[in-house]
Amino acid sequence: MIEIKGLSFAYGNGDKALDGIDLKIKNGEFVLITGSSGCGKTTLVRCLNGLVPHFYGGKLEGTVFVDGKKPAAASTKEMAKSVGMVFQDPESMFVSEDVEGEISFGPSCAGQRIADIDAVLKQLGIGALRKRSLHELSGGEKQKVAIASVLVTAPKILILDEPLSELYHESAGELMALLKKLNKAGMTIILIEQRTERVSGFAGREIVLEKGKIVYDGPPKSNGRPASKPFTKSGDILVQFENVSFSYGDNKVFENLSCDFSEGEIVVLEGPNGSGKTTLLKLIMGLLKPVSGTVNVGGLENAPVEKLAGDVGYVFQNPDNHLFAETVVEEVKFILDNTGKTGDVDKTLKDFNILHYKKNYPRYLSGGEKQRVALASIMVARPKILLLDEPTRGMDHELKRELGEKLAEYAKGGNLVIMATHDDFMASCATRRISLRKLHYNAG
Amino acid sequence: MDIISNMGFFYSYRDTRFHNLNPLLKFSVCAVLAIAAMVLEDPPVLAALFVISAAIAAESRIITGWSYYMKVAVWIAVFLILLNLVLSQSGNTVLFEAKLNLPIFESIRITLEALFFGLTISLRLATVISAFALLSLTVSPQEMMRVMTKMKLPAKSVFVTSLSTRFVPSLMDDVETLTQVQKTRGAKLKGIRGKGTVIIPLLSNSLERSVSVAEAMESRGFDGKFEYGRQKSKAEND
Repeated sequence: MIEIKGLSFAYGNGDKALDGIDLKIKNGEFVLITGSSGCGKTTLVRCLNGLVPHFYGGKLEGTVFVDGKKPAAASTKEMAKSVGMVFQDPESMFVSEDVEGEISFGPSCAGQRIADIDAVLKQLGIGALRKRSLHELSGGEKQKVAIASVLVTAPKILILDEPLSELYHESAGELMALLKKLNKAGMTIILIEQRTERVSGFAGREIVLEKGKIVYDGPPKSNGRPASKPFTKSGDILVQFENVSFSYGDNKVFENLSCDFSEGEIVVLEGPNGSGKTTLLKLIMGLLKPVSGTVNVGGLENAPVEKLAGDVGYVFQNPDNHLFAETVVEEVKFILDNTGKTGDVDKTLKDFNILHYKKNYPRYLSGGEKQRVALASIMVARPKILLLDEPTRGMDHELKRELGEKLAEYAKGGNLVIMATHDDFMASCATRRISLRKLHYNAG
Repeated sequence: MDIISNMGFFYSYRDTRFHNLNPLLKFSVCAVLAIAAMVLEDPPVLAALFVISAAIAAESRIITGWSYYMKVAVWIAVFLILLNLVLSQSGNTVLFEAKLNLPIFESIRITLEALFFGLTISLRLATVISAFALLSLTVSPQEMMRVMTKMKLPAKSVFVTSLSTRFVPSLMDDVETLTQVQKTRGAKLKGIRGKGTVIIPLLSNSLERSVSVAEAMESRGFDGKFEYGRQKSKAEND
């Protein structure tokens, strides 16, 4: 049982993250927590396992009881016996090199002995990964190992912070089925998720946060989707693959791939983790060279990135990789200074609703805001071809809808947008969807 | 999967007899090969040790990764042989002799004995590097920690060492990705200012990653007290 009364919390810098939360979660409930980026979802669950205040400090008011313990008074080690937490980025929680070491970390901390690692791995369908190095695993496999490493200590409450963000449909479905099974077995599940269309039918209750307050607490709400595709027009071919083969060492990714992409299109690349979506984007951008065949981009064959920068824009999966400047405005101007292209910085900032952060240090912004800065830092140069790798990480529905509209408008202007995503919402904005499988290519 | 892991430069489990040996035994085999190569001087014996290590690498299916180490060994060997030929003046069987009239090198005298000695120390070095390659490619960091703990090294220090090695591949991936990101934005990665566009986010990412790992460790009950134990699978228990 979780009982929270009058919970308010402010981080050390004074930012109020939670404001007067009252909440009860019974044993065995499956609760979905949603809300816009920076609304306090993650802070709320940090209060349940004692990371707030033990790890983060800050000012905590009100009372929290979890499984009969007060997280603020108990140690995080004590709380770990009751609450297991899977973080948004599984990579960030790994402490070992291999799967076996990672699974045994939690019990080693608690001085427990694991009777059967294989049983935990089999439960998640990753029995064959036991001896594998974590570094070699795909995003989906890492996510499952992260969950297994928490489940192995048999917590009563399992918290997952956006676990679906890097999972393909099949893997996401498998994970949700597993969570349902654990929930049926009596485990309390608390799931933070933006991609709510994937979790409908699983959770029994939805809590919506806004600016640190609960604004909705009840049965899961239905999710809006774009009513129709933005447009279906297409024009001149901008990118053409001709018999392209590519491999990383012995690992073949593409063999004789031929396809083309035209202006006015919004193409969504789909496929399981490791199927070559990012590789395809990097081949277009000139970051990778095909082993054989040609990638023709705007009339240039197998051109290196130096020749394409500015005309082709690439927004990488992790916005943190874009951010190095002292202010948002410098970050966005950077591409214009380098490529000699012209663009309206203020208008772009305004379009992405980050004009008020103009003078802020970009890395201090929330995940969704950083993602918008990364998008603005590329789109300001108005590249003819825009490549996006999972562009909606940390974005809520409203932001995704706005991005979908922007991309539709952008493509209408005679540009090409190619996007690799697992996000059903964004995929529904596509004029064409391409499904990639390992060494198989099905254009639809 | 990324480029670095595809290079086969790091440990990767393979279902081979050597991989499946007890980690202490694997460690001992590698240590014996390395120590024997350092102590023994007889070239046929050194050659035999090298062949044994190469055979183990082949049996363990790590030849790709092992060959990276061997490429380094070849470069060092070439350097050592040349250095020895030029600097060592001893030996009776002269292969080449010439007057140079340089301030330090008035003459050069290359002997068969110097060449032979250069080849011997190169073989010794190659065997030591080969043994090290076997160790790093067939013993996982987790297994290494168990070995070190069995050798009575402090568990906390072993854990900290292991944790820092776990970041090496991530750091290399980061460098590659950040370089690509800035290239796509037209950045010229020359000079301190240019490289700063990669170094600044690299440092920030590393710091943020270390905070995230610390947070995750605390949420999993880590409080500085840590015991490595061999957790047996059901199959192993049976």
